[in-house]
Amino acid sequence: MKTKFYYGISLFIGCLWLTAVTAQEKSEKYTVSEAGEAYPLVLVYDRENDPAYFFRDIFTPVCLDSVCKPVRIKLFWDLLGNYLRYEVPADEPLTKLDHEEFTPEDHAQLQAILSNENSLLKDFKLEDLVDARTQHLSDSVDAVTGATKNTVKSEVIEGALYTCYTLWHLVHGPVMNEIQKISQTKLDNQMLHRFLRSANFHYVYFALDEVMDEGGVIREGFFPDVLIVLASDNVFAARHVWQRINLRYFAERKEQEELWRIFVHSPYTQQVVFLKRMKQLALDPRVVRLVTDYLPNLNNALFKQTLAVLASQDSLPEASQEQLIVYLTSTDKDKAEAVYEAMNGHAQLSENFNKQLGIYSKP
Amino acid sequence: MMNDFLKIYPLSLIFFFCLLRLGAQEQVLVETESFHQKGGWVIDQQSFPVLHSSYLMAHGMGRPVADARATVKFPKKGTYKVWLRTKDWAPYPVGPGKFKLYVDGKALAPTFGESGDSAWKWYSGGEINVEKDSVELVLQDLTGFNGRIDAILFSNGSDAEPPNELVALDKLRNELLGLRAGLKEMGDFDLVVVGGGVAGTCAAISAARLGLKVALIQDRPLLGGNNSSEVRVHLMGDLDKSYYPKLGRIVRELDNGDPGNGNPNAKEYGDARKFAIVKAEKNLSLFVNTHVYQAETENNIVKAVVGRDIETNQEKRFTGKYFADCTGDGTLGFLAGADFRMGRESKQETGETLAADKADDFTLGTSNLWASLPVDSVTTFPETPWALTFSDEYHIDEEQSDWQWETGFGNFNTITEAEQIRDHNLRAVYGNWSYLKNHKRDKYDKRDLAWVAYIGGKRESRRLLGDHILTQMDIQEGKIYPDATVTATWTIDLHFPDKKNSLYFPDEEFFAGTKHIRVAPYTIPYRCLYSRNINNLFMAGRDISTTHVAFGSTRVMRTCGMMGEVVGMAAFLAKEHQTTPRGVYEKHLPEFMGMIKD
Ligand SMILES: Cc1cc2nc3c(=O)[nH]c(=O)nc-3n(C[C@H](O)[C@H](O)[C@H](O)COP(=O)(O)OP(=O)(O)OC[C@H]3O[C@@H](n4cnc5c(N)ncnc54)[C@H](O)[C@@H]3O)c2cc1C
Repeated sequence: MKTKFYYGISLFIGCLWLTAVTAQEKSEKYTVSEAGEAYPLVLVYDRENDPAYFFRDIFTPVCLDSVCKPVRIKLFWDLLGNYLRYEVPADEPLTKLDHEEFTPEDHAQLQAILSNENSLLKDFKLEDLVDARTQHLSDSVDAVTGATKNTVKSEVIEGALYTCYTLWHLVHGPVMNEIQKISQTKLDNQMLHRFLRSANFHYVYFALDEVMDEGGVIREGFFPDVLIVLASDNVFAARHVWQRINLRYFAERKEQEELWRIFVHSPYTQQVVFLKRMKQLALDPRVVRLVTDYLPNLNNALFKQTLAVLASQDSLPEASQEQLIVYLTSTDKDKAEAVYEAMNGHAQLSENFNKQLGIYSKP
Repeated sequence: MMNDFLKIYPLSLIFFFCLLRLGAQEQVLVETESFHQKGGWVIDQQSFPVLHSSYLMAHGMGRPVADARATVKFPKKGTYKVWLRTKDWAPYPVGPGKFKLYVDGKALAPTFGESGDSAWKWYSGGEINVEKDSVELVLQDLTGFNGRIDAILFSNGSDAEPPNELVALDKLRNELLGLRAGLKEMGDFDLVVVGGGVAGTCAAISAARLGLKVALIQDRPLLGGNNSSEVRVHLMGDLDKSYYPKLGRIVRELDNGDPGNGNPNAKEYGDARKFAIVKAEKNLSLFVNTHVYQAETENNIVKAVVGRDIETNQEKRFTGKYFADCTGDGTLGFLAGADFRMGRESKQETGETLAADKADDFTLGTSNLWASLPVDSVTTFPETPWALTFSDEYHIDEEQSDWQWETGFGNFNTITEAEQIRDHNLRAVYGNWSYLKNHKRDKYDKRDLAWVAYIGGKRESRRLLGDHILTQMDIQEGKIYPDATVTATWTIDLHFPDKKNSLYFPDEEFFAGTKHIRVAPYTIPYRCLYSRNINNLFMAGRDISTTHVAFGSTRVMRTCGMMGEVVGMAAFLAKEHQTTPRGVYEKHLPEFMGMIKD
């Protein structure tokens, strides 16, 4: 197989493929049978000799009534069977009904269609699409809902309905399961470490499920990886971790400091999520100091939520209490009131704090 | 409440009161919506029911808008303390709505709009020295991301922060702007229609063509409501299945073709066409930019409504024989004390299979549609840490919005939290767009936001209750009552938060799903179109008398427009026979139906 025959739809991915081939990366060929037919599925390794992705060469007829035309295409999946991209040979381009070649826009659209695992194509039968097409599918659906028009339009490329339909079902068909089965046989700790540090969120969630049990207890040796997820850009994965992780991992000062460092660098919405559960931690006095030092950086909403974390502590170091006392006489009345509301009645406050709370008069 | 205020303080007393204050202290209040030059700033009246005022906003889709300017006269020279009423609209932790105020070319020290506090409040701008009779004010937007300002107060003689509590603030505004003192009588009308969406516009035209003297009051500069170019929703509901071919004629005139939802081309929505048709009616007086906020009632009869110009703050009073609430929100009915319902009924209460198990305050949401367009070169869009956060795992890979971009669903109240809803929509739109521009560059490098609505398109608010409340059974059994009027054809289309969106943004959903329950063409009884307890009040549009479930089908705009046409006819007959809307049903039904059928 020579690279130059392939029309990469994405330059970046194209390069990857190039390096893969030129560096003669290792690959393994599997034979998969689907609906009585056997075909080869290839697992490609990267330069570190770790499993990287799968591909399959396809040569399939796409038929409309009795007219069929062959389509040659190479489809790629990640190690969990999620579709990545496709390539077609330059001398056998994809065409539409009128034999027109795919334009770059058509390629972009095909990539979008194939990437959409929830495509409407999933539930449609080919006949439905044929019928619908002759009745101007998008118009008649639009009579029912303004929504569907756009959706259906983006599910198919005009003049290449059968190609879209056939390829979508190949991409999202039984092959996914086969890929997962093969990957499962390769699964080891190294792969899990790699997954947790990956930019592919499918890998992250998959590995989290593997290394963290229902009680949020983490498999030996994986805590640092989980912390990386907690600190990652993907706020959804970070939230997922924080809502599940067993808080015993944050019983000691060192981890609490790390947690606070992550908190400080997290986006606002994630900070809100952090504070909700932080109330359950018994913070080390030195960490409490970090928290009270940070108070001036918070807006009113976060300030209040952070005070709730402080108020939930059995005791607060003297220095932190002094920092809080200052707010009681601040010109910022909202902050003063928030400190009063949160701390008044706390069992373990200094004499001075109690005195100042007594003096404080609500606006 | 303003009414009470008037009763307690007759005009002469207000004047006296003003003088008394002026003796101790000079105060000059500038409502920003009255700035004579708006530059790129826009007037937002959507929160009038909450703030009792409009405000000015820098809606630049991420590009700073042109300055707004005003020249302000001062009664006396000297040192004044400056106060700005503003907020940080997206304090997560600090919002992007930053702006400066220049007085006679000099910037006040603080930068406003970045306080981290979302409440509307007075912020000190320091002191200025006024040496001439007037000063020039300039509002300079720094980001194009929706900074906003309600008012500016200059005061000498006292450092006290101006009142922020509504009653006191209303009083201050009234005194310093001379609101009530300047109230203008706009005339006496046969029918006063409040709300110039498709329903209200059709009601006004219909009545005017039958010879009634009609006032149409709309609180935006444009007609059409959700179908205007400020919201950009296309018209749905069929006209050709009507039992009475006469209905729908006015709707057809207003119909500008189907540009879909959120089309980037404003012209597609036919603002000019609507204006031209309304202007051509000699019996119809149109009052745009006028937000109705008060109703004067006597014995369950509306005598007059008072509106305020959203720009000049001119107060206007309209008296009339009949009134029509076409506000969508049911605002006039609410002000007049009409019975209404908001949220979902329970199955047990209505017997509807599609009703909620338990009654609650869930409503369909509000949309701020948007669209992007291709551009010649690569453009950038800033990171938006204050917006909703997206990632590879979850973002919405779309070049243009459709109806699904929707916030509300019981998370927010569509009337009292209209500002928060709009702002949540903006945080979704900008956060997602920022993600696409910065992380999906192949596809989005050469696209720019062409348009983002700052006026929310509302779906559901109050439903005013009439002598009949339309239900799911009425619809599905196709009941034809003797007063069957408008034919409706839309599915029962009740939205809910999209499942995946809920997973990623629990209680902060901004994306909707729906299930269309198909219906055969059915009719809406006339009794759904007038209030059961306010004797001269009609309604047309999304605020008519239905259950939440039935509303899911009646709410589309061609259908709403036909309701307006029917209300116009009923008002005509009511006047003819010197009777009430109910009287038309009880005593003149054959004649009324004859009119509709002819
Ligand atoms: C995103 C979206 C998609 C939708 N999709 C469709 C669709 O595809 N097809 C369809 O037909 N319908 C659709 N709908 C529903 C439809 O737009 C509404 O039900 C319809 O606009 C109701 O018409 P209306 O005239 O009653 O109210 P509105 O269109 O809400 O108009 C009411 C007008 O009254 C003004 N007003 C309010 N209060 C006052 C006051 N106190 N004083 C003066 N003026 C006031 C408002 O500014 C507004 O302009 C959609 C709605 C949304 C938001």
